[in-house]
Amino acid sequence: MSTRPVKTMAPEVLRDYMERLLRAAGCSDVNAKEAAEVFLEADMRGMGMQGLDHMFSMFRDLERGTIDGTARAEVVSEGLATAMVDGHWGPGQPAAVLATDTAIRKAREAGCATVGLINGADIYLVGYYVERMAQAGLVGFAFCVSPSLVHPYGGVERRMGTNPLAIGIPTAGDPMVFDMATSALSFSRVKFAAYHDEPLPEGMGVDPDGNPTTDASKILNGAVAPLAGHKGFGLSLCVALLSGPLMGGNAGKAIDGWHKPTGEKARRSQTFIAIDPAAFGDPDDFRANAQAYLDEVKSARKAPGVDTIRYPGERTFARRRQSLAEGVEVLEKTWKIAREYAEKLGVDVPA
Amino acid sequence: MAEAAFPPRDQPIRRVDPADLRALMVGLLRAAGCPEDIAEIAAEIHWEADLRGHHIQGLDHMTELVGNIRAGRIDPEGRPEVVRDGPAWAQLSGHNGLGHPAGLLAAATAAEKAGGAGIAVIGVKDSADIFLVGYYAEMIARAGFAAVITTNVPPHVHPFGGAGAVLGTNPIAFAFPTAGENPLVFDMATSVVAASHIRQAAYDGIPIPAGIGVGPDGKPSTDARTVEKGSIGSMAGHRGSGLALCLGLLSGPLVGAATGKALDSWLGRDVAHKGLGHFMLAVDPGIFGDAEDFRAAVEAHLAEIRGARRAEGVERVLVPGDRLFETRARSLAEGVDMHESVWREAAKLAVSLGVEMPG
Repeated sequence: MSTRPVKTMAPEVLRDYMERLLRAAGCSDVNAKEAAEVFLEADMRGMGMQGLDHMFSMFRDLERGTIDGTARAEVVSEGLATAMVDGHWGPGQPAAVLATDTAIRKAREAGCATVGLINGADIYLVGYYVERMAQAGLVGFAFCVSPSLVHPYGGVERRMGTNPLAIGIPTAGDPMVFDMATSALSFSRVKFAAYHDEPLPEGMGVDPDGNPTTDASKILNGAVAPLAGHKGFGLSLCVALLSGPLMGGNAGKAIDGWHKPTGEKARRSQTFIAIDPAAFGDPDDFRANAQAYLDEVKSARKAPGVDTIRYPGERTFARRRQSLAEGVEVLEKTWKIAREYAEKLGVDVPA
Repeated sequence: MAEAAFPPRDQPIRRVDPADLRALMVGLLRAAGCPEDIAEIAAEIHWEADLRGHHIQGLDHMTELVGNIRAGRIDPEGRPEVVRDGPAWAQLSGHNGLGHPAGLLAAATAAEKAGGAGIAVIGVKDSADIFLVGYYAEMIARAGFAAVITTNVPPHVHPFGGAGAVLGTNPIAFAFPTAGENPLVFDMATSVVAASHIRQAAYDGIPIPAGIGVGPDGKPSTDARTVEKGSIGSMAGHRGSGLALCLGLLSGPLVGAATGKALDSWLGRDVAHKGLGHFMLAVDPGIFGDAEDFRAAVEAHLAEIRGARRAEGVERVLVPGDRLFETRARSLAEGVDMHESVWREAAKLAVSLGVEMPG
């Protein structure tokens, strides 16, 4: 698909490199380990945009102090089917793992559970957390509000985040993991196009003056379009409200400080929901019925030139197995950027 | 803004008195065998759809609804009940009755359980179409809770990369309480257009834009009658396709209902009849923070979105629900604008049921 040059290495080499980078940037051992795990899983799945390439944003936040590398998240309140996790401004991934595991535990007791994560940071690979719920046999949802980059339908100025949502569903095989940004393109997809001077398709965004452009670097300073016009716009808004205000956090401009050059802490929050299929029937029947439907979808008549119809997560699990067997691929461009951070942080770069 | 003019906006319109429209709907449902209370409940939802300008879920759906009653797929006297529940969840059976009462009971149960437990997940099985999905979400939001609702629909949609119908148009609706009079209500089909737009285009043979659908042979077509028998695409390619699939699993296997081809009997195809399913989620904003702060934060975000610099030719930036409630108020005050083609189809139904059309 891509002719972008890559470097291939053993996953453990990359993991070790990521952990050393995070520790050198100020993370405690445990936070470095848990954050690296999420970045590594992204690279292993061929989602490098959320992997090593995205670590720069954590280094930046750690340096500015918007993230405290040693803070540990904790469960601060619990109800029958709800819980609140306070991230205490530590790294987002360990806090999100705690929120996910709390949702799993509560849903097993109550049939379903909603857990809010407040005072967290970016949690990166949103699908990772719903997959964790699905691997535990539960249906999982995650909703994440992010700082402004996307213009509303009818507008040309950034007012919304790329606000991703993810859904994980257990099946008879690998879970189904669906993960989407509600913008026409994710931030990282635009950034990758900018790295390689690749033009973006028409209609994906506007420049800082509000004029339509296909130039990725101009869109990064302007605004990305919402996905599919008014539908993605509405969806994005709903994800923002479920993730931000519903959990006592904010949405929109109030969290933009996070990405300002100076860096400002903002009341960011995320929402995790788990549902136990056993509440509604035999969980094995559920898995079998879910699988049967996925098989039915795969067996649909194919469009001309299409070999296989894939369901969400199918390709990423296949890629993960390939990465484990043959090594994980990282863009040369990403490797070069990471090397600059490594040199600055005094971390040895793997051969 | 670049937007396909589909459905066309220049179709002939007839202005109808809202009270007459409602009485017609109740009359049709009574004549089809619904007890009075069920006819009133169902008419209310179709009426609200037409008032809001969401005509694909209004009077126009009565022909299909009555057809399903006549075919025995819907028991006009069937009543929903809660069959299993816990403090934060419930499973309902629609007992093969109309979907509307099942949807309303599910929404009321969602609000009640969320009020106690902070969150509620409600699954409905053995049900039928609930039509205006946003209406139920709005009910939950008016009770003070955030709502997410989805339902499965018989297959009209091909998956990304496919050319045969295996997905429903599986809509999703969200609603949130706001600091204003009306909640924020957002409701969308995960298909590129709602299947009902294809049905309505077929009435008058209005062509549909290229790239929306394929015929039963899997070949692209712009003929509404051909696409009606074939399938339409997902919104935004693989993302809409993936979302539709997730929603089909939530409102199907998760809640104990069927999904996919097992629902083909609803399309008059010869397979064993299976009920539809629905999924509802309600969350109490007061559990995680102050409910008033929540409403204020929602308003603040909406205000900054409405205040964004506008694209050329755009008069104002709207948020979901803005137009809906304005149209509703205008319909109540000045009459409901109905498509002539929809009115004509309803008249055929009325004749077959011995119901008189209003003047």
